[in-house]
Amino acid sequence: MLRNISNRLFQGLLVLFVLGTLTFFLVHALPYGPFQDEKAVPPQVMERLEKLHGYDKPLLTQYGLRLKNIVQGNLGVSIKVMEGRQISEILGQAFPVSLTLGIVAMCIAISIGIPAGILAAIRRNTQVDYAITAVALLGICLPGFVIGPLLAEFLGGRLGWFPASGWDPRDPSPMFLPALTLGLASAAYLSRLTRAGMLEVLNQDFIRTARAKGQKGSIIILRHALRGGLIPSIAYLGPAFAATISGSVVVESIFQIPGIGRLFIKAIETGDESLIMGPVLLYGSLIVLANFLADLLQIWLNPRLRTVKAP
Amino acid sequence: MAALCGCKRESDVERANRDGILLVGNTAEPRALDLQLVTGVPENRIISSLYEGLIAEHPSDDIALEPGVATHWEHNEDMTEWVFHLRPDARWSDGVLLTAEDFIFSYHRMLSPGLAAAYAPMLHSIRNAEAYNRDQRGYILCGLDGDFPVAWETLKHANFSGDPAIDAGDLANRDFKRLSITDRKRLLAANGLDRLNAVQLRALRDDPSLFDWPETVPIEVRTMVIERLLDHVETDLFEKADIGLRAPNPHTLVVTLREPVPYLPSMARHSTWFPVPRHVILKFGKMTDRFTDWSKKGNLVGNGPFELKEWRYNHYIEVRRNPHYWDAAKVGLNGIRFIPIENPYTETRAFFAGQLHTTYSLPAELLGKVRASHPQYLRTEPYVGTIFLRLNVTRKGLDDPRVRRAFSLAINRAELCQYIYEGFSPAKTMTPKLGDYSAPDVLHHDLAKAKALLAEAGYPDGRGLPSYAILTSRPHPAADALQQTFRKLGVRVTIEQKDWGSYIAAQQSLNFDMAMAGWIGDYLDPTTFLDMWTRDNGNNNTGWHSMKYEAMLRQAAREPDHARRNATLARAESILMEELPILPVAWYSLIYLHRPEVLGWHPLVLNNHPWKSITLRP
Repeated sequence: MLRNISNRLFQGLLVLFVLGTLTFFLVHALPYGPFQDEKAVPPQVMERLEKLHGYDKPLLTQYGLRLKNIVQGNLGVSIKVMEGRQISEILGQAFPVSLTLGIVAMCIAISIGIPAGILAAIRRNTQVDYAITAVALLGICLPGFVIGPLLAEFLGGRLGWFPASGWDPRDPSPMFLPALTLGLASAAYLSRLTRAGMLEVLNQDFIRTARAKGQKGSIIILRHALRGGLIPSIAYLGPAFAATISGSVVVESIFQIPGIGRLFIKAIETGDESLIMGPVLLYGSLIVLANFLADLLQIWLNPRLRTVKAP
Repeated sequence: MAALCGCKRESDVERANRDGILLVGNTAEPRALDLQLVTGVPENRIISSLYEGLIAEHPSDDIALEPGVATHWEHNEDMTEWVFHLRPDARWSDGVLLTAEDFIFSYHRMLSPGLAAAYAPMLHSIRNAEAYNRDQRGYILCGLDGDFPVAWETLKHANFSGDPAIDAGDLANRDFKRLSITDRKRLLAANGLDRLNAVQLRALRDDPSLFDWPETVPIEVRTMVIERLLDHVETDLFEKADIGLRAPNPHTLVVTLREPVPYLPSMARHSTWFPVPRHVILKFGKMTDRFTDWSKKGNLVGNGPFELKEWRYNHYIEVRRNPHYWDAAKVGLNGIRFIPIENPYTETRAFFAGQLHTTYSLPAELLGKVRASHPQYLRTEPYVGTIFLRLNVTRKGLDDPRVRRAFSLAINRAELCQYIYEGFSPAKTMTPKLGDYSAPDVLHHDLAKAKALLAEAGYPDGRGLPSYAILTSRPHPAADALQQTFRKLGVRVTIEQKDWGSYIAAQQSLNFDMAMAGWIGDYLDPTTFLDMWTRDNGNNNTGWHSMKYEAMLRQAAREPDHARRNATLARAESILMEELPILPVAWYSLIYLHRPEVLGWHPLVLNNHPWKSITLRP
């Protein structure tokens, strides 16, 4: 068990190393650099900027320096988008926003998706099931850039129930619409996964035995079926959480949220290597961590996994 | 849900109206607030609330000059020397007195090669400023010295600035002392005398054969040049450069120019001419450090009507009334909140949801709808900018002015402005309407003539011309329209879309056929649209240049008489419009949404609204 965990952690670090290395060389292979601008930059200015940021050194030397700094926990400064600002400072302001949004979105997704999935499984092949399945299908198919503006226009603009855009750390109301937009897609998936998981479990012998013993339906569902029926959903939750946080670019733009997504896109557009690297490593660690936690949770839920030897 | 958040909330605008705070949609997060290092419009809007130059903007008149830090100013007869009288009560927002020395420090910093400010060329008309900014050490140390035994006219033929044709590879990163003689020679020639370090200069002093001197420079003079460079290696040459800036007393600034600049007061309204606080910058680092904390929240000190109060990345920047501002009693707002909404649809929604007083732009598709439903909010105003099609005149076919003229004649600009660039006006020349400059009205639509010209150039019905690609950075209906237009001439045109960075890089390396492009003027003078088409100008990117055109521009630069100067510039522009390395398409308009309770906000072609004259109707 312990060996299993340390093995997974080592794999995680390896993934991050490869990710960082690939990012570094891909960014440097871009046909444009961070120092050019819409209006021409005088050559002597360009030269001085390159020197200032070490771009005059051979690429491998730059790579070595970068690696050394990152290992020491120094992500460097933004070269272009917010020139001179520490990446850690920028992410320190933007990440809590993305994280909060992601957590609220996942809460919405779980509180809608899982009960809906359970209900659909219990009322299998009834109108309720069909309705839930149809809505879920619609939710999966409709992307955030359709749902988002619709919610903003109607709940935000016309009805004025929620702010149409913006963010306020002291007031959670602007958070609702973007979190709902993000959460709905995951909720749809979750309901499908929960439904399938529950159906599989409900067909098993131990459920039939419980029924035969005359246990109440709600106890069968909550105590016996749920634990097994949620396994597919739990496996999905980890990556989905990471994907919700890192994939909120569109929603951040629609609702004007000061998260990482918009920064990241701008960094890519301008070739701001350190501001690309920061979020890449952050998202990378997050996905690795989320998968890792999902694995642990599955082991806890599914005793059969505990006996599997580490490869 | 309604119960959850009450009924209709009090909107942000209603609350802001009560508090006297203007809510401004400002498209993008500023890169920084060090005014000497940033160039963009969103930055400029914030900076113009925090700082004030010698001369300020008038709230409703583009040309009128309002006193800023300077109360009045005068110039000599040929407009090469300007005296600005500063108000004695001008202060920084921390209460420290603002003097002429602060302006000299500011321009010193802006021009210093170490800071590498991209917009420093805005100050190049100051005497010797360009040589100092470009770090022409040989010229400053030897050329400007009247007692130097050899005149600069002779000396300048030596390789001071380096030979870009020589590729020194990574020789600069290796230990100079361990390089072979050939490599040393190569590196020295590639760098040029101005850019040698102490080790290299010493090596050159000890072994003169490492460098190719012109025959006309005597041996002992060569040693003198090297000695001088060595004496001043890595030192700041500001004092030596005899730059045209003087402060005879704390409240007088004398600026001496290299040529007459009749529009200097107008240009001095640009943020590059604003002062920066010497006492704060030096507290947080050296003058030329780009990355100090001086311009962060809590540290930044300005001299404008407002001071920086809050800065949340990608969220908002808020400025509040500056009590130390000389005209604080006349400032109408308590503060301004700049909100960086990049997505124009989100911005429009935010406006109609009562979150903004004024937006940055309205998407063209929504123009018709808003015009019908909310005309009271819609603003359409001329702006100093031109949309044009940039041509690469080194490409086959495009190298013939007749072909370029044929393409220009084929474009129906009025139609483009009716259907695609809604609210914009058809371009008549490169320079849009500004001040009293009247540009030649030469561009028009005549398809028959275009076909005839193309035939005359040897390409009847486009036969013999290669296929061209129009480069864009985003899906562009105008590119589609131009594609159709050129097809009418029988020319095959494709559209090539690249991401922003690659789109810029392709133009700068002349790696394109045609490119959709735009240019926004920096100040109210035609030169802001004409200077860029000279040889070696980094913004030209067409491969075109003309001796006649440049001679005309130089003649205008020496002309102190305003009317005659404008006439000369118009003649230069005629040459440009005859040769057409660029095909102007439309003149920009600002199209945005604006709430009627904002008072004192009038149409201005540079869109630099003086924030201090704006008020909110309670």
